[in-house]
Amino acid sequence: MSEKSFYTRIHNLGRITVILALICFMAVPFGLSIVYDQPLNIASCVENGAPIFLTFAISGICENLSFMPIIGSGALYMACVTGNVSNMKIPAAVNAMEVAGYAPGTEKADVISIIAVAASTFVTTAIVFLGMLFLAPLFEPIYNTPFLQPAFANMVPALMGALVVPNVVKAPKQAIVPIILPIVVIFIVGRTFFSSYQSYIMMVVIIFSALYSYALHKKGII
Amino acid sequence: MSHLDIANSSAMAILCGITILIVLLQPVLFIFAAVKRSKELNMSKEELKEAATSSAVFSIIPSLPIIISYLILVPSLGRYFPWLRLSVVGSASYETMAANMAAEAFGLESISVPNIPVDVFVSIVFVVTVGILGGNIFNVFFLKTYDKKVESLKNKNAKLVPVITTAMFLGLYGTMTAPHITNFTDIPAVTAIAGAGIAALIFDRLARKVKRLKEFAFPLSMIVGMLASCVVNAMIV
Repeated sequence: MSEKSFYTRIHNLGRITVILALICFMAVPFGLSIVYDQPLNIASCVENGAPIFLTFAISGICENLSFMPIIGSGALYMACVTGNVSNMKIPAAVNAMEVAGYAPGTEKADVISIIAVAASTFVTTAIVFLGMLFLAPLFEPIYNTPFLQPAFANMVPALMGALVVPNVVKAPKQAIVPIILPIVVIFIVGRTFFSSYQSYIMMVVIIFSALYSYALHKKGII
Repeated sequence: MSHLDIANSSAMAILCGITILIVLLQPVLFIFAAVKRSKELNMSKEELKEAATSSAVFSIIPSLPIIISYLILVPSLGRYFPWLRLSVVGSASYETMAANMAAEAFGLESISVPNIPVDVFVSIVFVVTVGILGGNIFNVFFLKTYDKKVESLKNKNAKLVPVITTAMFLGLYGTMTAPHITNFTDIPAVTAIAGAGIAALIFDRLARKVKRLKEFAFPLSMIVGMLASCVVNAMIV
């Protein structure tokens, strides 16, 4: 199969499965509305839903534009349907590429990241299912143990550390702008503003980081 | 009939269960496509297996807090809707936030009030569902075009690809890490970053000798960071 047809195949598969998933998601409220004879007031749903939709759509699009070149389209189609993108799917994909030894953006890396995101999806779905059946109440006391509480509260920072530090050490010159720029931005705009507009800030930081690395490469520094 | 009767009904269980099953078809189909392509690219089975194991093991850790979010959502949304939402599409923080935003939009104080009118509950389910679909709708219509643009840029500058993707990755996680490393009041969080980072470097070294370790270096580093934050927290409290 030629390279082009893999590209076409991934996008066809992605589009069909995403549309199918969207139909299923929508079937839940519509199904309830039919089964319990509760007609949906579409006007009020749209009125109340539009601001929520727009807020998440714009940041979602910014994120997708940023993620795609790193994990590839196939993995992104899946990641967006299955959720937990930045705290699970991207780290899983990046780690798998690292383990396999392929640079992000290559076709082999895209294949690996599809496998990674799929495996990650199965695990989460299985754990949440077990959680619903019996695991959640069993796990709750462990989660609430005072000594272990900070472990779960600081899971995201630990994830970031394990992911970012080795990459900074590997590419110290390239890392200067991507690490320092967001810190500077936080001190200028404040934490609240930063967290509200993180997806947009992220996109700007990524563009500057890419331009900076491009400049380093042009000058022969890296 | 209260909204929880609907939320815990078998109709809800069936709707949510079928949706999850259909959504799980997607990774199955993608795995077939990826395995097929890997053969054409002469990639070994071992590589794919390693990628799958490593990702599966890593994913256990961030999945555990999700079941706690499940417990938090159950009293207000019932057993099945949170099961669906946390299995697919959303994330723990989104679901809680969106459910509250939707409840407020329909004039309730929050999602945790008892006895939500049934029609309002169905509308909240609708809004929470639609609220997060923007990214997916974008993918259906525009991801292919965007991919084509990126691909043609890559072909023109093949040598630059690893440089730029590394830069993008660092920018992405640099932005996400910044709020945590600058929060000096939260010492356990800073410890978690540093602990996991140092552990990752050590495991990376060790993995050169013990190959098997490479697959597990990432989840192990995370655990080290998480435990380090517990120890530091116990010391300062």
